[in-house]
Amino acid sequence: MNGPSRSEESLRQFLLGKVDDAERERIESRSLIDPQLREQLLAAEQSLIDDYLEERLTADHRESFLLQYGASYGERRKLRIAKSIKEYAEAQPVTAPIDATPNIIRRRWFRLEAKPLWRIAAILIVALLLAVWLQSRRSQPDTQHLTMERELASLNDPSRLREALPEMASLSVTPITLRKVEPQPQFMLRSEIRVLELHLLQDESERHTRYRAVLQKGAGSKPFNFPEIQVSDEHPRVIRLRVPTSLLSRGTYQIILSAIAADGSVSSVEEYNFTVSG
Amino acid sequence: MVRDSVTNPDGFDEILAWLNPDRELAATMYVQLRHDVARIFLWNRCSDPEGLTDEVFDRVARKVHNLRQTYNGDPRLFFYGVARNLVKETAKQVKTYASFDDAGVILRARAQVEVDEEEESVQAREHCLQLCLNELNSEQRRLILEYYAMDEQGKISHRVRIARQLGLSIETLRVRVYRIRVTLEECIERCLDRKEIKK
Repeated sequence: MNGPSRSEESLRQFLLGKVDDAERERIESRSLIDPQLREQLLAAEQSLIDDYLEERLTADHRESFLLQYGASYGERRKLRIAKSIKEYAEAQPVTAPIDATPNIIRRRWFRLEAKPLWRIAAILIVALLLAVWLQSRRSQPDTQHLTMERELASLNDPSRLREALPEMASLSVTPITLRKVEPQPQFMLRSEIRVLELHLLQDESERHTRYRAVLQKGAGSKPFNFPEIQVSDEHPRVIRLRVPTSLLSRGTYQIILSAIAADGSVSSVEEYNFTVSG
Repeated sequence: MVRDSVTNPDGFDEILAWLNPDRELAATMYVQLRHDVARIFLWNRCSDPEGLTDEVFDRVARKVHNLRQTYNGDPRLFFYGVARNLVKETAKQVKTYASFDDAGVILRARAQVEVDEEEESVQAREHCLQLCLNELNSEQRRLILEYYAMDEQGKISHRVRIARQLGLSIETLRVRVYRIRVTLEECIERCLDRKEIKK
């Protein structure tokens, strides 16, 4: 049920409480059933909060903003936290290692307009050293990683997936393309739970019978591959993956699901995230 | 509105069945609907969006058995109707028990921000922020820090550059940042609450 797209300005007026009741009810009711409008509202709200934090609102809009977003302790607390995030980010030196290879550093280093010869030479040397290092790593099999992947293969063997394991917990995870503002699914590590069964929920439009999945913690860590997954007829929209909890530690995990077509070609289908705590 | 939710398990199951025959999809829709309804209360300046959302779901749960047979249309719009009524009821109560105008609310909000600031130390918030940033994956962490980096004047063009680099529209970039910020805020709130309990 997609109506005409609304301009950011009209949504901003709505968020600031500056529309009449009929328009308010139209936008509110549509926001429950129209995912496109819901996304537009999220973007407009982020823009509004940015403008408030960065003091770009007019006096009138600032007053309206405080009426809407500063009415309760919980909302004011969220604003304070948002302000802290902004101030923290601003205080980070541009060259500070946000992570191992931040985009901003990469962008500056590879900027095309200034590339003297010594820089190209340095890049070549680094690339050569990297290639040597990668080659040496490949020649030493990571036995721990292989053991884990073997355990994953055993746990996710189709014949064993029918068994209900005694020390197992389950967690339903929605693809990030469908998730809106709900919190990321969370699993708390507990000593009595040995296996986590993930239920990857699927969009109705995405239907395949065979999949591949990769589990990764952060972009820099080594991914774990699951064996080929067959979707059961009983639950065609749920893909079950079992993970030994010994493989998990606190942090955010990402699962990339790829579909295997009849001709064997593989295409990326969905991305899922979940958090491990405890 | 401090209240205990009285939605019974049968009502909950019937709401799920009404939303979608597929229980897994219905559960996803349920979670989304709760967030959407809470946002409607927020947009209407209601002081306890979560409590009022509980009330909406309790009211629907009491009627859902009959509704499934009689109501035509998207069930989510019925929830909206109940939320709208509750907004009006709440507005009436506020008018009955306290007379206030918008200017009064703004003044109170401004004054309250300063009081709140004192209650929660900046150090505690920064400590929690660092802990919670570490719980994000590196892509999310880098994106939110880059999004807010730069001084005020360079920010807008900086964000346009980030969006272009990621192959996104500026609106999609904002939605991504919105979600990361909400995740981070929730983590920081939990962290601050734990600190308050320890005091």
